[in-house]
Amino acid sequence: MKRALIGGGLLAGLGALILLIALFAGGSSPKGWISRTFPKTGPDTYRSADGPLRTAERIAAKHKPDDRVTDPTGVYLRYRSAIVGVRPAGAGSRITVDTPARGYARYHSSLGGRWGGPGGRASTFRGGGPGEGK
Amino acid sequence: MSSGDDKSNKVGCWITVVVLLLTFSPILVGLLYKGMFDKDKVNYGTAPVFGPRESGQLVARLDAAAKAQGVCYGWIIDSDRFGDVQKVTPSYPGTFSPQPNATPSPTPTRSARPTPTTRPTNRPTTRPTTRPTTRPTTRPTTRPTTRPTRTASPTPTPSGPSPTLAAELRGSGVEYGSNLGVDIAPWQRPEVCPKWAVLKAEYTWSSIEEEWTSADLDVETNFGGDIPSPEIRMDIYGSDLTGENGIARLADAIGGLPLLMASEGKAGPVPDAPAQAVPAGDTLPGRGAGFYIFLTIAIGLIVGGVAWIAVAAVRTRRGN
Repeated sequence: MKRALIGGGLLAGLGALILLIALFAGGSSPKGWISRTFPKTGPDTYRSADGPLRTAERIAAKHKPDDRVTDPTGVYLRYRSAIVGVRPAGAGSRITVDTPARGYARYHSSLGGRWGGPGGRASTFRGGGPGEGK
Repeated sequence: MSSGDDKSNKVGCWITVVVLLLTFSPILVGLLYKGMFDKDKVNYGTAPVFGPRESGQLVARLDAAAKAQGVCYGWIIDSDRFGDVQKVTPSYPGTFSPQPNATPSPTPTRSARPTPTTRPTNRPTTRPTTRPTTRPTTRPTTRPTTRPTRTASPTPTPSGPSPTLAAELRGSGVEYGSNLGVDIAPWQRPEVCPKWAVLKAEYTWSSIEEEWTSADLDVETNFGGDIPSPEIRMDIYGSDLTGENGIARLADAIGGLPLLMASEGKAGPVPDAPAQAVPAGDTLPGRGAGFYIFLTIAIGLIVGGVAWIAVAAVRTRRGN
């Protein structure tokens, strides 16, 4: 019985650990930090005096995104529970914080083909060249 | 040791075997699915950095920015491979098609830096073969081992590429393109591109490991001097370019060129892209197969552990 308790307990403990990692891995949402750091200009919209590159760099340094896209229209940061868009606005930039589905729809012209696709299967820029598969 | 204990230990062993099978079979299936055991593997020595879809998308996105800012954008990737890199025929998104021989791009609506006054109004359609003297002629012809620390020095008049940059196009393992299309450098169409900016990525290739071991970014323009340390300004470093999703980071560096030029005050802002309806069925991927594999493993381990204890408890009680 003692062996079963130790063996079974170890197996179950290992399973619980893997379950916790699988459920909670992926970084925290930057929404709170953004709302405390940048002035709000609208619902889930904020303003930064810096340009998109610098602003996105600040956000990414504070909350590491799961993925990011930079294109001529702005910088887009992807988190487990949010998509942050940083686009040019005058001399500074406009920051939006959306749920993943809403952010993907809002910025589809930039994100389509990178993060999503038909049936949720993406993505281009994931390989083909020698940088792939590492 | 009682016979009850022996039996419970046997059951425990079987449970462990089942759990191990549950653990490793999804991983093996995943490896098979990813083509780990395929004979026809990609030849990384000759595979192009950007495939047809990726290069088409880059051309399309840069084209929109070039039209808005009046600056042509291009890329040169020196992948440091000596084999013949396969040529790519780009696949453009939607109805887009590049116009390498179109009329000159419009003047930017706002430019933080004044346009040089010495620029000729009637630009010749062909570029002179002798280079202007505004650029240093002693530019190194071999790749330096350490990155030189340069400072931005505005060039008074639009000019052609530096000798090193122009020579890059003839090198093996070099891929290039611009908003005009793949295999077209902006300075090859001076009538369309009086102003251009090019991002150059230099990789170091290990033929033994068949992967890039380091990378370096550089931005050269013909109207506003070079941009020093683009990697710092774009938050994309050599380790990003050679790491996981390195191709995507390189695409980001190229796609971010118009933003970089705007933030450096060398070009006007890029206007908002028109809103695009999301096609039916186009969604963000879910958690992915990896999540469910780990979820299955975790649940299998928990159920196996609890079952082992439960079976042992029942047998012990029966034995008593």
